[in-house]
Amino acid sequence: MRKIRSRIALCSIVLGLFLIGILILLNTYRRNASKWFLTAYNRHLYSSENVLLTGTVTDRNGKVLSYVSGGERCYNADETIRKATLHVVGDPYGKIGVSALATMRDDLVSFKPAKGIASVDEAGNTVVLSIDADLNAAALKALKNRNGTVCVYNYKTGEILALVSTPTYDPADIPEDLEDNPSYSGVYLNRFLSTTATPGSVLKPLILQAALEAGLEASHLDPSQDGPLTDWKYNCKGIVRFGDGYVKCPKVHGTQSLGKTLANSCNCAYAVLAVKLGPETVAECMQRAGLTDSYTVGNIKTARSTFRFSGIYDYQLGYAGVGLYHDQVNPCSLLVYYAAIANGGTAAVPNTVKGVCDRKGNTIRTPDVVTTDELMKPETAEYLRSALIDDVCLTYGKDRFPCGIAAKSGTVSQAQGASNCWFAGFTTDEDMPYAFVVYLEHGGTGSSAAGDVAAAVLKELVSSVR
Amino acid sequence: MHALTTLLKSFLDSSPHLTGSFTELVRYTLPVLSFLILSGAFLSLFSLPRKKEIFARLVAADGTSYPINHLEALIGRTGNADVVLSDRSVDRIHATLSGNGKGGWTVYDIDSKRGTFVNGTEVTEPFALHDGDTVTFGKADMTFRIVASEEEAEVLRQRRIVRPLPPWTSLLLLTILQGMLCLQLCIEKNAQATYTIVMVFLGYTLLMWVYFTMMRLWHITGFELEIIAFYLTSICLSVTTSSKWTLLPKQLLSVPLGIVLMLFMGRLLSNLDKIRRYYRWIMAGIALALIASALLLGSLKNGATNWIRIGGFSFQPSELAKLCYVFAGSATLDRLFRKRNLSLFLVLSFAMILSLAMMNDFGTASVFFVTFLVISFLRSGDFATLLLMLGGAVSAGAMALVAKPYIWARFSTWRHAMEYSSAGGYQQARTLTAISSGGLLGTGPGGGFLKRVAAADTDLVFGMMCEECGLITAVFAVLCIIALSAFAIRSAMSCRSSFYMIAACSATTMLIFQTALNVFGCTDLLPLTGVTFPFVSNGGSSMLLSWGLIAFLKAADTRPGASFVYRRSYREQRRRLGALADEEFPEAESCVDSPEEEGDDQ
Repeated sequence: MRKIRSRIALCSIVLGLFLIGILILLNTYRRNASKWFLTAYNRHLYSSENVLLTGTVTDRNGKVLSYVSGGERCYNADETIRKATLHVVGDPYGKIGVSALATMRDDLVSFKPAKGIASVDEAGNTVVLSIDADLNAAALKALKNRNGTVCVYNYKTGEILALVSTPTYDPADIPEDLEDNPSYSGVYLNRFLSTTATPGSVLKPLILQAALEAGLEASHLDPSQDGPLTDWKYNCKGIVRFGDGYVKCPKVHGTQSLGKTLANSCNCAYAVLAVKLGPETVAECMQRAGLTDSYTVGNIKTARSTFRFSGIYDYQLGYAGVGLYHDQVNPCSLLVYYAAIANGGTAAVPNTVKGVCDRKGNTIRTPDVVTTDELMKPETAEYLRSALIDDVCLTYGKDRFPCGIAAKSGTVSQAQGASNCWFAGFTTDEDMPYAFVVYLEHGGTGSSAAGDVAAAVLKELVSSVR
Repeated sequence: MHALTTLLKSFLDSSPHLTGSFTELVRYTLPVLSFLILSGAFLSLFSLPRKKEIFARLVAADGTSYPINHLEALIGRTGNADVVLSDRSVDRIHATLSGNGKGGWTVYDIDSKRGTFVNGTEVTEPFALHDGDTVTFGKADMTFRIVASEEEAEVLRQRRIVRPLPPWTSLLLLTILQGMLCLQLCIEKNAQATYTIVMVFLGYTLLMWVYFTMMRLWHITGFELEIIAFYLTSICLSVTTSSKWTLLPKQLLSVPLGIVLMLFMGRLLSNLDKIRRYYRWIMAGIALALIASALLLGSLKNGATNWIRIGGFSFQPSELAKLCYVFAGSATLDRLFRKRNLSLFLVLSFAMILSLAMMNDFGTASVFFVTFLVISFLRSGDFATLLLMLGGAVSAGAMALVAKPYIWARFSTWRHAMEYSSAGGYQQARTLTAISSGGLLGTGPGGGFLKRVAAADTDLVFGMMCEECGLITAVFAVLCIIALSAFAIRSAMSCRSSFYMIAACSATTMLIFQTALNVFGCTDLLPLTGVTFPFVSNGGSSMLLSWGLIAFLKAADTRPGASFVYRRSYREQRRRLGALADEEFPEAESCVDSPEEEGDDQ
């Protein structure tokens, strides 16, 4: 019996192993409880209809944009603000995947592992967005029911002040035909962050940058000329041929300086530059300028811009050089590029979040300012900045805008309906480090339609800042 | 009663503030009650002094007396022998003495070089011993003495000084706990469920009181194991109500059936003679028959085909087979040191494990296998064989993974449940989320979301406990299993027969391993195998098994009046000791329950 008794030690070992397992489990709980809790399938956090049942969202001025009351997600009382901020704030059911409600659950939920769900109430934490709800409302009004996007941000801090994407809808009164009505097509997409579009002439500064930074000289383009590229004179005859193909301008621009080619938005000049540079150099420039990469805005990855430069004919490369052919640009990355021009070659990456506060109003997190790599040389930035200021003075008319700006428009003709258009640029006042981008589908020409939207938003911005 | 419960429900529904406060009260009270109920039981289980029984003595020629403390005693030179003789003529393992618990003793020679003799006659077969016989081991002469009545009475008196926990305070606390659970669940569930909930909880509480009252009327003491079992079963009813309240009556019915099974098993376990002659064979036969019936008649449920449906009931024969297996496997008795004593057991084990594997129930198969390993080791002491079998099992497991892709699927998501929360890790990921949602105090019984996930009240029941009753209460439930196991191991050290020892250790292994598979499986520390948490998981078969296993623990319990075995033995001793006992021993309960009298006794 005593001999067998000594074998009981095996059972003690089994029991010991079990005890160790329990301790490991408790330790795992201690370390991972928050991760386990914050899941999309946690029915304590989400209703059966996938509504996040905790957390408050405000704009930068403390205006409440979304909150929970009585187990329902509620929104700001103003319908225009609700519609204007929808894509940043988010819909109740998480269908807009890149919104604050959808991507900032971990910030919105105030969770303490020891208390479990008891630590979570309807108010939760408050995510303070960087947007100004009134500015967003102004942008939505300026869009006048056209589909597109508007974004204004501070390129020093990265704070996005206005971000509107249309089509939009009222999250407090969701249209019944939202899923079926073609006018709501793509309504869940944030066009600024998640889409790409043909850029047209707003891409021309990139070709100019590529040419400047590739060491191209006037003689390379025209043996009869000499001196640096900035002394190059180009004679636009309205059309330029490359083999069997050609690139056209809307009109004959005649002889023009390099700077003037940008103000004239001369397709022929930029096609010639692109072809001279070659596909590899142009592709390298797009990459360096940050267009082919994805930015992380808050927790959201933006769509990458795409181009096709290799294996194409020269005239196709010419078209690609003026933002046509297969060029597809993400509005956010284009905005950052223009911001880098304003800021000497780099810019802060945009962010929709100003901070996160707990129930007592204490700030528990503020996002770091992330700066891009050098997207262009400072001297290139300086040259482009001057050219874009001239562009506004010579082409768009600076009186249209409430402050000094530098900008470039783009118009992409469509087979049916009005053209798609862009207007991208930045303010030139020292105390207003803002960059902006406007994109309109079937909106008309860039300089007038998109330019007007930009002017209206800047007017509201200037009045609120001053 | 219907009208009363309807009235109760309408009152609860009309007082949201009151019910809200009550839920808060339950959340905070549950761990406190658990602590109070269980701490008493745990302390009582582990604070008892132990004095060994003495059944007989071997007296050497020089007058040295060797007490025989167990019904099987090994005689030899090895330090592990029960009677260690230093004489060079004695083999390291020489002979065994075996008692039947009723005063009958037999001596066996274990192929010793110089043989064993009784009164000069060589022992070649099991040889009956009588008081005063001279037993010669090699050249060492010893006199065999059955222990004298006075000495036996003194030992018994010393052993009875121990004072198990009186059950009444714990019972009262358990009743409060059950009342709170019942009311809280009435708040959470719909009006239709209220009547069933109230009736089942009332029935359960009544059953508990009737059990304890009857036991006390039969002068039985030492209820810690039952208190723990009733506590865990209360949690089971709460979990079952929360997930599938319509199954409550069936679940309640399984409790008295389990208790009857436990008492019946206790009755069988108390008779070593019959175990040796008949029961072990019958139990092995029943185990095989149960598994065979599942194999032939089983229908598919939850991925395994080991369910039999009769009428509206479905049960798992493999759960009851576990009990029979432990019974048959532990009953080695006199054959303890014979090499062939493992062969039949090996055949039985192989048949059971193979059948379960054929039914795709690899969770239960692994429980059988681990129990088999422990029994084999306890019986043979052969560590090398143990490792060899473990190696064989790993190879067999690897083959099973190749042959059964769905098991491999479980392994492929193992330790990555959160990453595969929509696929292979679905249940585990939701369990982890539920556990974190519960926090230390839980959401309150009935307030969880895990109940909507498949097998929440069985395979994932630990998660449900954590979510609704809180991590503290769930840890208490795990501690219950640990306490039961530790108590069994402690009792096994001093129990009278190797049968009880091996049975208690195997039952304990089964309890621990099942709990481990359940707790670690649903929390992704181990692959999810679909094994129940003893007592807590919803299911009649599991409940029967859990109560049945308690029988082995109570058989190993060495406290007179508390153990199934010693209760019987105590009566017999009193009968045999006759007048002496009447003088020496006051009534059991007065002695046991009254510290003053106990002090007087000392």
